[in-house]
Amino acid sequence: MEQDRREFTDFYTAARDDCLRVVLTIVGDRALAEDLVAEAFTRAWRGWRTVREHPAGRAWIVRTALNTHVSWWRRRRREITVASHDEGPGAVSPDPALDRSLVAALCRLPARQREVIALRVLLDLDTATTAETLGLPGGTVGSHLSRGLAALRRDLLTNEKEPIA
Amino acid sequence: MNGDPALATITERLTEARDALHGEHMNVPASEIFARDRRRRGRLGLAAAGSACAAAGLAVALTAATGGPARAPDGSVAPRPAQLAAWTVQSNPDGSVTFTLNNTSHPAKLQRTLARVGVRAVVRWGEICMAGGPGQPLLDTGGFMKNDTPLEGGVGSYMAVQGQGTGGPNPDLGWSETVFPRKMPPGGQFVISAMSHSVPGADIQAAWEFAKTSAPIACTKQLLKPGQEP
Repeated sequence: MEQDRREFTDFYTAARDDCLRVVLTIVGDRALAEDLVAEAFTRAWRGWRTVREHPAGRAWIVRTALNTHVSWWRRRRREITVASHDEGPGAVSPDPALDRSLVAALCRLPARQREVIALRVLLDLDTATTAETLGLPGGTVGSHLSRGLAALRRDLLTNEKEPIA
Repeated sequence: MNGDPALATITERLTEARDALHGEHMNVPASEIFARDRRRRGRLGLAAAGSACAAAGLAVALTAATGGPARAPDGSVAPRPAQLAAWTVQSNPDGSVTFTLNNTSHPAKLQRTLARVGVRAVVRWGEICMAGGPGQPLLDTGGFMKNDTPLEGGVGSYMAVQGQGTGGPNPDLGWSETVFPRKMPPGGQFVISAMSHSVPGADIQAAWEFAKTSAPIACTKQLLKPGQEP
C-alpha cells in the first residue's frame, strides 16, 4: 500500500500541471479545470492498480476529467446580460491568458472530436496511444482529428472578425 | 501532424493556447487526493445503509455518523451530522456547515435540516430552479462560502453529470460546499435544485444560486443551455 502511495504521488506530482493546462485550455474555467483534474486523479488513485499499467497515464486523466461533466459553468448574472448565451463555459471566469474564442469553439465540438484534439494535439500523443486510450481504430482517430480541426477552423472564421488563416 | 496549412494553423493556435497557461499550477496537494478518496469511500458505505433503510420503509431517516461525535479544539462536542444516502449536512467545530449533495431528493427534509444549522435555502428535486432573471442579480458569496472565489455580480453554478457519478454505480453529483451560516448576508438564500435522467447523455443535472429571498423562483424540467434562464 505504501509503495502504491509513493508511486501515485510521483505520478500525480509529475502529471498534474500538464493535465490541468490541457483541461483548462478546453473548459476555459480555472476553478472548474482544477476540480475536474482533481476528481480524475481521485478516480485514478481508486483504480491505481489498473491505471498504473496504462500506456499514457496523463491521457487517462485528461479523458476522465473531460468526461466527468457534460457541462458545468459558473454564472455571473452581470456577464450573462451582456455576453452571448452561446459561449458556454468560455462565457465565465475570465482569465487573460485564455483564448476565449478557441474555448468557445472547442465547447461546440462533438465530444469525441474534442477528446481526440486534447490527446493528439494538446497532450502531443501519437495516433496509436490515442487510439488505445480511446478504444478506437487508428484511422478513426485520424478522421476525428481532421474533422475536429476543420470544424474549429470554420467556427473561428465564422465567429471572429479577423480571419485566422 | 497535419499537411493542410489551414489545419496546421489551428493546431498551432491550440498549442499556443496551452503554452500560454504555463504559469498555471494545480493547487491541490497529493494528500488532498487521498483524503477525497477516503471521504468518498465513507460516503459510499453510508449510501448503502441509506438504501437498505429505504427498502425497509424508512425512506427518510437521520443517522449518526460512524464513530463518535467530533470534538472541537476546546473540548466541546460538535453536533452530529444529518445524513441520507442522497445528502449529508455536517456542522463543523469552527461554526461552518458542510453539505454534500449526491442529489436533492427529500427536498423538504434537506431544506429543514439546512435551516436548523442556519443555512437559508430553497431546495427542489425533479426540476431545475433559478431565482429570477437579469433584474434579480445574484448576491455575492465572498466571505461566507469556504474556498469560493468572490465574483462581482454574484455567482451560481449549473452542472450536468454524465456516466458513472462520483459516488459509485448510481449517478450522483458528489457536490460539496462549506459555508459559514453566521456570515451569510441577511435577505439572501441559496436556491438549490437537481433532477435526474432528463438529459440525453447525462444522468443528473443541478443548479445552485445565492439570491435575494424576495426574488421570484422559476423552474423547468428541460435541459438548459449556457446562460439560459428557466
